[in-house]
Amino acid sequence: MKKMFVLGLLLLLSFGCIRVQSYVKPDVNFSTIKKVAIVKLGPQIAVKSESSIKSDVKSEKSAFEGSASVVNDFSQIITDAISMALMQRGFDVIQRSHLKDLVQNEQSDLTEAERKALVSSGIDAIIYGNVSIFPDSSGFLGLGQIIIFSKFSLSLKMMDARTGKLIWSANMLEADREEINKVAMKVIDTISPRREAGQ
Amino acid sequence: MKKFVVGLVFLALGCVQVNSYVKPDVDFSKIKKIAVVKFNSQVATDITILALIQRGFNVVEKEKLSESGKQSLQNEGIDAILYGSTEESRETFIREVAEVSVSLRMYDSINDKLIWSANSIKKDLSEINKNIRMMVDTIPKKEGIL
Repeated sequence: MKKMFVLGLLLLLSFGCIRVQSYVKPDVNFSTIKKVAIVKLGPQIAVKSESSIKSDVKSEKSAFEGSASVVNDFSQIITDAISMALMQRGFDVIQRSHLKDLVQNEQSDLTEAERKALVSSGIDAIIYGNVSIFPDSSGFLGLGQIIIFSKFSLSLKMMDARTGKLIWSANMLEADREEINKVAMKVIDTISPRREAGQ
Repeated sequence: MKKFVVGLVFLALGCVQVNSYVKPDVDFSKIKKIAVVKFNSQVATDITILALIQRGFNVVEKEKLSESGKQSLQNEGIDAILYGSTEESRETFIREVAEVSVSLRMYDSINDKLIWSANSIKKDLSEINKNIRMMVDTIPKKEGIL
């Protein structure tokens, strides 16, 4: 019975351990931000140290190249989860292909003309950021697209399309990949109080 | 008795297969024809199309969409566009375990707004059929079908 209690407690603690840090620009009225577009998050592989990469990997480079599509797929799943969280919190999320028509390079800074094009198409803000995966200590397998990881981190930013200013930023340093939906909601919820208060 | 309750909680947690959200102010009775843009997995695309047809929607498959393609979608009477992604993970150290995450999202073809989204994270690959069907079943039914 004691073991069950400890197990239950550990389970509860592990669920509550997603730590999100955020900053919201104080002079921005978030209740005016309704229509947002989210850019696919830049995928990255975080390597803590060279010794964390397993020695039987043919070469570090080939392992990274082979894993690129896997990390891309994971990034897409997270991007979708964030879109869902935004919709749940009352934002209108605009199709990414619509953004592609207006912005030349999603990963680089917007030009003034691109920003104006977004505003004229009714988009109030753009969300962009990065997702990093942490390979497990056992490291990569040099087997093409096979990659083993269980943790990821996430950083997001919101730019007001009307002013071009960064108005919100949030990051989550480490979570299990099964917790994608919970992380997405927790990160987006750092904006919610400001919107609900009409600020 | 307490053990039974704890067991029940674990069972309930294990039963949660999909997560979905429907935009509340959308009239899904108007969504009749859906364009499915090919995913990164043809198998998942086919399963989704089948589930949508069984759900009573008219479905057309598209390789990809461009701005001109969007105009043609409206000419074809397409009400919504559905995109999907899959991510497969394998663990091979002790035994081969194949798991897959699937994410589906549907946009209104007129205003480009996200109107429905669902995902199933890191579930057994052998259950992909069931999970996609469960996701599609969360799309509100149009009136007068099924």
